[in-house]
Amino acid sequence: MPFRHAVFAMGTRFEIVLSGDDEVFLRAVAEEALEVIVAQEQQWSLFRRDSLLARINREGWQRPVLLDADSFELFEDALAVREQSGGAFDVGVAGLMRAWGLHEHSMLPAEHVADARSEESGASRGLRPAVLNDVPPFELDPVARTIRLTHEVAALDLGAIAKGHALDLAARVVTEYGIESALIHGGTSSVVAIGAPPGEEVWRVAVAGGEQEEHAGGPRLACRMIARLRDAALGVSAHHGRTANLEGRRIGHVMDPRTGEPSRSHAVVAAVIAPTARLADAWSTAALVNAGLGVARPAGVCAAVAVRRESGIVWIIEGDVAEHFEHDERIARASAARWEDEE
Amino acid sequence: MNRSDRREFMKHATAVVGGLAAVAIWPEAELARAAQPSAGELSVGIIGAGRQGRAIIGELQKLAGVKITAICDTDQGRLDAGLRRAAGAVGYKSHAELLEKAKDVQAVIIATPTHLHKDIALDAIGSGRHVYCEAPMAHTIEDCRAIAKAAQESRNVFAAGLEARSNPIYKLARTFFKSDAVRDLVAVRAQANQKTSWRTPASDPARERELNWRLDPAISLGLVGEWGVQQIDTVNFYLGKYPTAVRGMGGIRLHADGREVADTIQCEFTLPAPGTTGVGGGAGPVFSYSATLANSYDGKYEVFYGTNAAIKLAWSHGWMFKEADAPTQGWEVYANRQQFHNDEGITLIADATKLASQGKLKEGIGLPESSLYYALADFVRSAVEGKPAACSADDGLKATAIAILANKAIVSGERITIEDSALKVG
Repeated sequence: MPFRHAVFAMGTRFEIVLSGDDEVFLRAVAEEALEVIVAQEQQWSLFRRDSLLARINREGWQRPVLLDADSFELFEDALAVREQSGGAFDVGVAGLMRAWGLHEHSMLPAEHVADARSEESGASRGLRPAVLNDVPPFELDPVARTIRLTHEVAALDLGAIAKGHALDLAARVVTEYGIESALIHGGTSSVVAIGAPPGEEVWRVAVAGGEQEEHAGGPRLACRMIARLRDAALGVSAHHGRTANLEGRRIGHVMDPRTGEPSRSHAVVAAVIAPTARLADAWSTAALVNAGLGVARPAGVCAAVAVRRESGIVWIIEGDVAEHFEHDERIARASAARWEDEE
Repeated sequence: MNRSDRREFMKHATAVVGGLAAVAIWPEAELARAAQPSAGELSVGIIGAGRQGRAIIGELQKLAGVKITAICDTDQGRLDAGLRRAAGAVGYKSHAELLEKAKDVQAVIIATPTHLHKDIALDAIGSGRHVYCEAPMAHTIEDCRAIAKAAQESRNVFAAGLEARSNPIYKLARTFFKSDAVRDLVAVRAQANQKTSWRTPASDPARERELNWRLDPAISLGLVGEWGVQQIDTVNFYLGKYPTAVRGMGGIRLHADGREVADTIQCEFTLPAPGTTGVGGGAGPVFSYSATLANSYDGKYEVFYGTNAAIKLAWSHGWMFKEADAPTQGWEVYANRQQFHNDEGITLIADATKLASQGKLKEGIGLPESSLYYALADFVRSAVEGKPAACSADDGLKATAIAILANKAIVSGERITIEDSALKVG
C-alpha cells in the first residue's frame, strides 16, 4: 500500500507518496523528508526575517555569507542556468518582484524596492543587473564556501528554484532509507520521482496546458501532456499562476530579468524534465520566458512548452520526446494534427 | 513581581522621549551584540549530528569568530550529514575520541539523546572544555545533579541550553512582565502542538530502540520533558520561583503503533502563592501545560495572564494584550498591532527604536534569527569573555527536575509535590 503524507511549506502543499509495506517506518521516513522541506522554507523564505536568504539580502553586500555544501550547490546551479539561458532565469529579481507588486511582504530592505512604473527606477537602482552590468547578482567562493552580492541593491528571490532544491534534499532522505519507489511534489508544479510505482515502468504525471475548458468547478486548463518520470524530476512554470493588478492591467508573476518587466513570451506553460528538481524548476522558468530551451541544450534536460499561436495553443518539444513526454491522447485528439505539424 | 522591579522599569521607560523607544531600549543593543558575539575566536566541536546537532551547526556558522572544527556521531550517515554542513570539520566516531584527539576544540555542544548527556557532559567538563548541553539536561534528577555539580566546580562555562533566557523578545517581554504593564500574575498556559509520529526511521530493525529513545518509556521524559522543559524554564525565568506541585495525565490519541509513551499530555503545576488571599487553602496561580503529537494547531507558545494584560510568547514572536482598564503608558498608541479574532495584540518588536526611526517598524515583526541562534551566541560570548552563561547548570537542573517530576505525574496519574530539595545540587 502506498503511504501518503503532506505538509504546508513555501506557500503551497508538499505531498509525498512512498511505496512499501511497513506503514510505521514509511510514516517516519515521510516525516523526516517533509521536515527537510520545512527546514528549506526556513532557509529560503523571502517572508521571514530569520531566513538565510533574508540574511544574504541584508548582509551579503557587506560581507560574504557562509553556506553549507547543499546550499552552495543550489547557487552554483542558479548561476549555471542563468548563464546557459542567456539571463532568462536569474535569481536577482527580488527587487523587481516587489516593485511589480508581487511579493509585497517580502523581507527586503526598503532601499531595494523601487517603483517599477517609474521609467528610471529599474535602471537607477540596479533592478535589472543582467542588462546593466552583465554580471550575476552574486558571486561564489568555492574555497571559503561563501556567497557575496555583487550590487549594493542586489536582492535574491529563489522562488523559481527553492522548491526544487527542497524536493531534491527530501528525495535524498527517502533514498538514503532504501526506499525505491516514491513521488514527492510541491504544489504540483515541482515533482521528483524515485524509481517507478510497483509494477510500472515510470511515474506518469499529467501537465495541464492549452485552452481553458469549462468545468463544474470553473474554468481550468485542459491536460495535454504526460511526463514520464523515473529517477527524474519535473518542473512546470506557467503564466496563469499568481498574478497581480497593476493600474488595471493583469500581469503574470514570472519576470524577464533582461527587460525588468513581467515576461511577455508566447509560452503559456513550460514543463521541463531534468536529473534534479532544482534544475527542472529553474529551467522551466527559463523555458517559459524564452518560449523554449533556447540555444542551450543542457545535458539531461528536455522541455515541453505550450506556445500560443494564431491557430491556438501548440506544444513544442525539445529533447528526448519519445522517452520523457507523451501526448495525452484521451483528451487531446482534437489537437493531434497541430501537434504533428509542429514536429 | 516586586515594587522595586516596577520602579526600575519605569525609570527606564520614563527616561525615554516619545513613545516607541520604551519598547526598544535594551533589545536593540541585544540584537547588535548577538550579531557580533565576540572579538575572539572559538573552536567548537559538535557531539551528536542528528536533527538538533545539524540545526546547531547551521546557527553557529552565522556567528563571527566561530569555527566548527570537529563533529562526532556514532552513526556514519548522520556524521556525514553533519560534515556536509561544516566545511573543514573533522569527523569522529565517539565523543571520547573527539575530546581526546581534537586538541584545538575549546568548546563542545552536546546534542545527543538526553539519557546520554551525563557521561558526555562529565567527560567534556573534565577535559577542560566549555560546554553547551542541550535541554533537558539529563533523564534523571541524579544525573542532572552530577552534571550541575561538575559544572559548578569547573572554571569553564557551562550553558544548559535553555533558550528563553537569551531570546531578545522573551527578555523584552520579561521587562513588561515585571512592570505594571502586566501586574499580578493570574495564570500561565503553555502548549506545544505538532502533528508527527516522533519516530526516527530505522532501516535496520536492530537499531529501532536506540534511534527511537524518545519512545522508550524506560529513558524517555515524554513530551513534557523533551519539549516542555524549554517552556517550564520560561516560567522559571519570568517568575524566579518554582512550582510546588504537579499533576497530569496522558494518552495515545493518534499513534497507536505499539508505543507506550503518550502522544498527548496535559499537566497542571501549582505555582507559589503570591500573597493574595487564597480560597481553599490559598494555593497560587496555576500553570497549565499541554502537548500533542496528534494536532498542530497554534504550535508552541506560552501565555502569562496578568491583572493588567496578557503576554503571549511564541519563540520568534511576542504580543501583549492589554485590559481596557489597564493604565496607559504612552508608547502603546504608536505600537504595531495584530488582530487575533476578538483581541488586538501589541506586537513586541525587539529592535523597535531603530526600525521606527527608519519608518520600518512593520519589518521588525519576528526575530531576525532563530531562538537557538541567540542561545548559542550567548554561549560563545560567555566562553570567549569568560563570563557566566545566560542559563546556568543550576537553571538546567531546576527546569529539568521539574519536567522529570511532571512526566512522573503524567505516567503515574499521581499528584507529585515538588520539594525544594529536588531542585538543588545537594
